[in-house]
Amino acid sequence: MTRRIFHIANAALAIAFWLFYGLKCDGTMHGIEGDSLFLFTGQFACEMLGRDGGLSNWLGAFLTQFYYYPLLGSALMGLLLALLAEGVARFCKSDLTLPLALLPSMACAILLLDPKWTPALPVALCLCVWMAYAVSRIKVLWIKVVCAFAAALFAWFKIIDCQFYTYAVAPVKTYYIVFAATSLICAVSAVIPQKKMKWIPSIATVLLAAVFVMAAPRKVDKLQEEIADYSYMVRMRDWDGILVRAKGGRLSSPLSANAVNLALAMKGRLGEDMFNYYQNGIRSLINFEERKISSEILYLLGFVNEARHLAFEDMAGNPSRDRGVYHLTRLINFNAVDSLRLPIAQRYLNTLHKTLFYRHFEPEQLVCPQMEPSDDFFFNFGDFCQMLGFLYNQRPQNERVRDYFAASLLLEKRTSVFSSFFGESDYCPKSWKEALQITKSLNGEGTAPELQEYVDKYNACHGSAGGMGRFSRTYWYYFNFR
Amino acid sequence: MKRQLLGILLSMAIFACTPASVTKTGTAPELVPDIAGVTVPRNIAPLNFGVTGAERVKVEITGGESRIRVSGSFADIPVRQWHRLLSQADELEFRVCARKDGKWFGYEPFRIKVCDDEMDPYVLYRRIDPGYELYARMGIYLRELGSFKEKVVFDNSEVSPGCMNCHSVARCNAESFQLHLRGNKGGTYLRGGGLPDRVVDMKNSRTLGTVYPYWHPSGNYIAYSTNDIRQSFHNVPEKVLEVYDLASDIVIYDVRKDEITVLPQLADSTMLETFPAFSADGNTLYYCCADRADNFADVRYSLMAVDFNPADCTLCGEPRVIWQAPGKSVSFPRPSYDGRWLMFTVSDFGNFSIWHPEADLWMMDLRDGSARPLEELNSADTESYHSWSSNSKWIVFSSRRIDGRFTRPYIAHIGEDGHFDKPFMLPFRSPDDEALMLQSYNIPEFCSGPVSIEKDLIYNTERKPITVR
Repeated sequence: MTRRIFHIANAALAIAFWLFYGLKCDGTMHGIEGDSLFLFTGQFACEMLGRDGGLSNWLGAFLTQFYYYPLLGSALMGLLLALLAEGVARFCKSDLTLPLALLPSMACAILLLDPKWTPALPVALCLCVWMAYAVSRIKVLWIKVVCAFAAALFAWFKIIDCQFYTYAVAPVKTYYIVFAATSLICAVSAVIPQKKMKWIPSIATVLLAAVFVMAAPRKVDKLQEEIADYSYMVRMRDWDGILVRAKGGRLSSPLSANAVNLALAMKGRLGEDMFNYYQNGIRSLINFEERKISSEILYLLGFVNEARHLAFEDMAGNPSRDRGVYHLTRLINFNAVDSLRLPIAQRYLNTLHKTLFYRHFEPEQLVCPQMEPSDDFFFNFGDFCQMLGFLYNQRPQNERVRDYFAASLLLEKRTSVFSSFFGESDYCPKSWKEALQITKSLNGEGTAPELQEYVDKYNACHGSAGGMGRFSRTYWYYFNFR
Repeated sequence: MKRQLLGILLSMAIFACTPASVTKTGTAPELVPDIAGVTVPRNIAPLNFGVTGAERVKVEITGGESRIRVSGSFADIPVRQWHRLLSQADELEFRVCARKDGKWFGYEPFRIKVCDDEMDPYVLYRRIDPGYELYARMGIYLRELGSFKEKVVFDNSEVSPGCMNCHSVARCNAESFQLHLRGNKGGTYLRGGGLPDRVVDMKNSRTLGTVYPYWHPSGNYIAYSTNDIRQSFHNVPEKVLEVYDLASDIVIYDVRKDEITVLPQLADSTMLETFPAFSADGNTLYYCCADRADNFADVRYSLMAVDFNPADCTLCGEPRVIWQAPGKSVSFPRPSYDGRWLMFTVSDFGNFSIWHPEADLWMMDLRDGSARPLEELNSADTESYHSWSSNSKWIVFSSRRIDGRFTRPYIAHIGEDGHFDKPFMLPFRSPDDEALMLQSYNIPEFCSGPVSIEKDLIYNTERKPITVR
């Protein structure tokens, strides 16, 4: 009875993890998958397995590739967690200790909700637990001793010392506490004599599972999930998806604003709609600290060299110090723009074609060489507006860079410069019109009726942002209140 | 006996390239990598290769009385049989059949020459992603040239993770070895001068950081350039980035005393001096020198020489220009160890030639001072770093000829007349291994013996300070 309840609880937890992770953390899962790489080559296996903790890392990378389909990836991770709990339960002679067998997999599940923890952790735990169980089943003592030593050595070098965290400073203590707790649970469970109990373990198991299901979702960082979602949609060129997600105009981070502004530019609506969304300075257009989205922005604008630079640095700066499929797809797309760099794109493509889900990947055709700078200049990260101006001057037909340049001038409130560039333009979307009206008004060339209406409202509200109502989505509002 | 007979029958079955089944193309196969017509030493690993577009290849290699037959998705030549063949023959003939779209094609045979001049058994290099500012995995590796074995000398993950660069051995002898390490375990690892291995801290208040090293033939000195390096990023497709010096000088480091000597002639603040290299006899110091200029594209380095007195670590006489050309800039002077040749890299400007597609190798005959571009080695893309084997019969050089980005080492043999035979790429186990290698091979240097370093010195010892004179 108790065992049956344990199995049901274990399965329920695995299913809960599967559905929650796969449905609610899909953006994060895509991010993890993009930063990792699994190649079906002997060379890759040898290289991975040769490193410390190589077996866990290799199996972890193998599982991570399935995050490409979040529901499939989370199902596999759910299975792995269930397998871990099942492994620990094998040591439990007494029903009393059975609920404890769920704890290691619960700890792993909670840690996995933080994207910095890799699947190498549950893989390592699972391997160790099942290896220990296999050794415990050996009947002949001397074989058991020899196997225990061999397994311990193997576990230390190829399983435990793995890359369980994708960040420079790893929480080693937490990792070893989880390991120590798991081995303690196994040891205690093996020592406590066999005893049949019905209700106490069953209730404890159910309670434990319920507490976990209630508490685990709180571990999810919603802001991180939002950014991961936008980042994934930029990666998949899902411009409509970005705008649907941003509906209502509320954006929690500048990176979300970067994605939304890029989507607007790609749909040709940046000048028209950008102030329907929260904007705050040029950081709303690009953040060079976040190399993934910014490299995509630079590429789609035509700064292909600089996009390659950032994409490469993103790969080199990957906390795991390994390449990821998203790094490679970007480098392929960015190198495929110029015929000069096609052989480089081909080299990255060779690698990508050894993966499971990208074996048919082909470079996209979203940027052409005619969008790139025609005359050389050194890129200055400190003055993105100026860089946009250089490119716009060289490639006035590049509409994306035109819109971004105009947007950067507006966001920096350089309305007179804006007027000098775009005052005579035939194309004049809403935000441009509003900016030009401000310039005219400031130059004493008359105030447009709409602007006058805004000024009256502004005066009526005594300069308070809260009461501006429908004007809160105008450039005038941004000009006054941001 | 039965087994041998079976083997013969099997190989006959495999190589049944009868005229009926094979279409003769009358052309040479398109090899990956190109090994047709190259010259190899007797101690080189098998030159495995593939044929472009082929699903399967069958290759018969004949040398003297012996032959090897291989088949597969690429020519995977057994190491032992290959060495047996190389030890017996002066020329190898390769007959290649390739299956493309289900049909077999036969190609014209090609040959490679086998040379008696020995080559050092190892090459030492750094492997690094060919990038910009950041680095992920990098390491110093020692490659056994007679096989495909590669040993990690030091990996940057071991110094959580730091940069490492400018490894250098004295005249291919690993008994004198130095390696710069950056990051929290930074310092210069030194072996030589009759002292135990140590990690020294080259930082001092009088000079910039030491960068490009070159060992004196005695093993007692290392000439270093000290550079204030910057990099900027181009925006047009044909250029990538520019690495340039705001300031640079040359200093001499006494390995026995852990002492740096600042030489006034090579520390002119109005000039940029870099890439030092001692002559084979140790009495001349070659280096590159340029006037400072506001625009990095106007900086052009001349090849210079100055007499060096190893007895007291001083310079004699004035530095003299030994080669310069309008619109050209010199980097990496490397004299052969027999004192006969001086090889250097020539680009349009600056000194960081690896990012200059126009960079080519040149060589000066030190007997008469004449120099020529090495057309037989150069390609349309970058050729940059180069170093000589200990007997000065082989060179290993970096080239980006495959795709313009991923640097690979090439090895070439020099004849008595100063002309090189066709170079070959450092052998890879398979064309796929090369194609999937997303790292560049930096600063390849021949090595006569294995290199190892005492990692404990890097982790646990205090950096030894140096004195400056």
